[in-house]
Amino acid sequence: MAIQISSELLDGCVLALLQTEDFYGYALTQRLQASIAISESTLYPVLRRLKKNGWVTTYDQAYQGRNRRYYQITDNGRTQLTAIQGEWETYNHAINQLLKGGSTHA
Amino acid sequence: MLNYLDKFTALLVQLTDDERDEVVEFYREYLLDANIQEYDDCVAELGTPKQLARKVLADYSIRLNENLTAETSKKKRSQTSVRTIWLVVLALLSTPITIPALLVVLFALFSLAIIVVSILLTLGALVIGLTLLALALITASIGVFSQSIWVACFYLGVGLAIIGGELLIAPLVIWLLGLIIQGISILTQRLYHRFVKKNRAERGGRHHAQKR
Repeated sequence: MAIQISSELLDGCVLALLQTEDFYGYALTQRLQASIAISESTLYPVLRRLKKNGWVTTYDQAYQGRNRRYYQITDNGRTQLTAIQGEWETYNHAINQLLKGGSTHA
Repeated sequence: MLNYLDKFTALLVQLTDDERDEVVEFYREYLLDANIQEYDDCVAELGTPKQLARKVLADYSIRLNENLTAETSKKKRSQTSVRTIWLVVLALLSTPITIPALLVVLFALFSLAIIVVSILLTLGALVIGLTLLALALITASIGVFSQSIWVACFYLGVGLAIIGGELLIAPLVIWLLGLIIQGISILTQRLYHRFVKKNRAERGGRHHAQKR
């Protein structure tokens, strides 16, 4: 796809997925790749940033003799998700208007 | 897979231990969950260890660069810029791109390098030359002091004025150099984004759907 997703939107997508359930890295990548084209080398920095900002936490769970690291959304993460959703709503509306022909009253 | 991760780990020496452990653990888990065992399959999924490592490093540094604000010192900023340039060059070299594109990139980087080196050499020569001149004038002023005090004063004055001028201009020159390095950093980042081919997952990620 020619249109590149911005990191803010990617944050929002990941947070939105984590709001429904906790994911581990591979499952999260699979879920995202089912909808948009992103790579593992994109997702890792995103998760790192989300964690650093305190929007997600991680916990390890044993799985077949090894650990799986699960990512869980925090309260701050939920607040952030709401903020991103709001910004996207405005942006999406504006771009739609422009793409439909520049009229502000559709 | 262990072989792949070992190679990958060995290439991440620039990261701190914590950062390295975390990113390697992420990909170890990823490959286990994806049920990818063979080295070649790892390469097909994530690229060669070198490509993945360069990408991780470049991502780190590029992100670091984007996040830099006024609170970080100028020196640190140009150090980060230099690091970015270096990492991006390595990332480019480890990426399979077409020969013409490679030639363009290499030529551009080569020209940039030549320009920067010549600027540095010119500046260095100027500074050394002027300083020597000033020192010579000051020495001369001491030499002629007993013969003509006014000539001595003139020499001494000119010598000190030159050194003073240098000190005045120095911050400006350093600022300019920092600007040049940052400019090159941005340029190489653009080159990186322009030429680095996306790996299989980035191109579509559809092959996962087939596997399930």
